[in-house]
Amino acid sequence: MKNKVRQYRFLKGEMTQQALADKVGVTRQTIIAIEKGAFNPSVKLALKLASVFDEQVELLFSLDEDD
Amino acid sequence: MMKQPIQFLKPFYLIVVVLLVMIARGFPLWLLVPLLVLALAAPLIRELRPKTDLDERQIALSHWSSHLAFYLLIGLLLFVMLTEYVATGKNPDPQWYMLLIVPLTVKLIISLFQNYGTILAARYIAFFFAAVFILFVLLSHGFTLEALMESLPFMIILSASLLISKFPRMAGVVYLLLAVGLTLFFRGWLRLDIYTRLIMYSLIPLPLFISGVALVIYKTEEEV
Repeated sequence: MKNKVRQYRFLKGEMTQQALADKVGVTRQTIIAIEKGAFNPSVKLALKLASVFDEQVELLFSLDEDD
Repeated sequence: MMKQPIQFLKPFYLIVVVLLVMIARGFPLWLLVPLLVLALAAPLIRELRPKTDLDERQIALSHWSSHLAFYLLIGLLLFVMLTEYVATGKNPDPQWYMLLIVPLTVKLIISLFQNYGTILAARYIAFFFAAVFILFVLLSHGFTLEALMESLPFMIILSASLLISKFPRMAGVVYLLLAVGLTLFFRGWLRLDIYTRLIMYSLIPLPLFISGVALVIYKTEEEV
């Protein structure tokens, strides 16, 4: 699964990973893992992330060709 | 809630406690138990409370590592049992089987309930026990009145399992009563050593007890 969390953080005035983590109630390591594509968040967490960026979840996350 | 930044403290505590007892000469072995309880208490309470301070990735990692550690433990136990058997030529003592069977049974029961839900899991457990027990009784006594009398407890559980959908709580009470009865039976009537008794408890009354509790607290569609 691909994601644009890093780009959206940049668009939100270079929001730090820790600030984003605090807003959605996870650890910074989890945000790092999501940005790297090493961890796929639950629907709940994906929706929370989308809500922080005020975007629709499918703009933030999308399927790879091999998914 | 503030999320816990690190999550490896529990296994770390445990390793330190075990090493402490191993290294410190003169520490009696029984001290390991309270030390392990103390070391486990805080992380377990934190994990078991309704709102854990681990996030979803940490929970997934914790479950995955525990899963691997569990199968490694099973592998190690089999290795020790086999090594002992090769060295002595004797069948391993019951405590080794207990260490294998009890956790595997607990895992099986949890998987059954998580995969099939309360009603189906409780029914499968009843069918399994009734089938095995009735077969066992028929093989030893044939089609006699004695066989019928001996298979009565499992006839009851079989009947209760057929009524689960309509009367889950009533069926749950029957499961619980049978679990308590069988626990007393294994405790008092059969002369078994503690390890064999623990195997029997985990194999027969435990699944019935868990099914009973799950059925008693089960909420029907109308109640949800």
